[in-house]
Amino acid sequence: MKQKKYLSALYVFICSVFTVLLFFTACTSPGNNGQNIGLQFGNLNEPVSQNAFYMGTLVNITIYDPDVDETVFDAAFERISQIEEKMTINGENEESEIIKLNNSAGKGFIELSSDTFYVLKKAIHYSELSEGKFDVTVGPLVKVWNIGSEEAAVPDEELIAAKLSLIDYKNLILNEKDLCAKLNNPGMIVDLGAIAKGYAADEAAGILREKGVEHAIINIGGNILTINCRPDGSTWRLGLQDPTQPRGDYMGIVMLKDQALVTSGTYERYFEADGKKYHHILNPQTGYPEDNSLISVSIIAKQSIDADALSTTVFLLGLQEGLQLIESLSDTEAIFITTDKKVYTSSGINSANFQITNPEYQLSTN
Amino acid sequence: MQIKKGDILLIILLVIAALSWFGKDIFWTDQADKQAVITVDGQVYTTISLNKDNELKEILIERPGNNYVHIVSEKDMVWVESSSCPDKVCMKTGKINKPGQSIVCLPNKTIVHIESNEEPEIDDISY
Repeated sequence: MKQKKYLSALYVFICSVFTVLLFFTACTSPGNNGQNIGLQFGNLNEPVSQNAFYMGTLVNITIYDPDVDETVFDAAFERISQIEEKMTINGENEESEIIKLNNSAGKGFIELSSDTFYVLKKAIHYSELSEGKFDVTVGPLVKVWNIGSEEAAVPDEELIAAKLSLIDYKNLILNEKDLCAKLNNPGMIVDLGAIAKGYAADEAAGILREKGVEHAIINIGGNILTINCRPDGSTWRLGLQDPTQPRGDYMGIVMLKDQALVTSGTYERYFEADGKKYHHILNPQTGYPEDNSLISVSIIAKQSIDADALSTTVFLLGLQEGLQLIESLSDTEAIFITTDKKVYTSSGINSANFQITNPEYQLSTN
Repeated sequence: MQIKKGDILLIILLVIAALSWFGKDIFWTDQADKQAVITVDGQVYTTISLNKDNELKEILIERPGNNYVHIVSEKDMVWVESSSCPDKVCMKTGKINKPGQSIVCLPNKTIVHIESNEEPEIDDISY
């Protein structure tokens, strides 16, 4: 009799041990931002992340609030998709206001929604600020280089020269009162590729905030916008891609709250011909990929639309003029990386908001 | 039924075996477990555990319109061997093996991302 009781007790004990251990192993989820398979307990607050493909790139939204309502993601992606449809110049998208604008070049004014008008206005602003180094009407040049397609090849000099004559932001006329715009000359093409993702991120963040999200990161193809700070009150820690290594390797960390961080660089989108690399940041004045000492520029600003436009603008301006422009803007900072792995920063960058983690990169002063 | 000493010994051995099986994951993780997670069009397609003892593994991801991404893994590395995409950015990325690294083939909506069970140093990366 005693032995039977002892045996049952032992049996119950073994089963409990197994059950408890089963819970332990189910808890270990595969790291941050992973798919949340496995059990979640109240105090294990893993951020919730969703990915989707929009605007020709990978969009990732991660929310750090507890109890996330997943319909928030749908609303944010919906808005991003809507913006893509309005502003794309790819394909024959009937919904695109920019395609309509481009198709009416040399004809008349086209009515625009307030979204598109706002982005065009910003793009003209940066074109003016850089005196045409950044030019929103660079479309004909982008199309002729066609970087990213199978057939990418160096275009004929004459073809490039012909396209250059179509590029001049002063021939893009905006009528704010009637919310319409016109391209003066046939063949002109507006391209919002350097600014639309920034706008999309700002809008997505607006939706998240509206729905009560308090801590989140939006990443549109490397273009980051943060909402607030980490849940424990500390700043976000954002890596800066090492231009010479695979995606995911970082050379430094930027610490910020509630700001945008956007990087423009030559190391991902390019093609090679005759041993030379031709990257996607085209100089609208020379007609060729910008050839200066820079390999990447990262901008920190309040709004992603500004950080996005500035990253391309500043890259095209080069280190000296780029730094000058940034210093003239309030609440805007920049980190430049040159081809010889030197790092230059604007005056608001210091060890409290930026650390280099890879010793191959050296902080340098101008 | 009579319980013999042998029975009790067997039970004890089974408990020890069970504990050490689970215990290895809890106590002996000095070598970070890392895996390559392959997602296609937003859904996890498969996961490859990356380990220096791994043999060659090949995964062919078929996409609409005769498109494909051919992924290979050997030892603790993973890479895109070939792809139908026009710009071959995914192939140019080369071999990856560290948590946080990824290979993205945008036209084929395929991502290979290495994760580990260690807390990463950064929340996200700007590129």
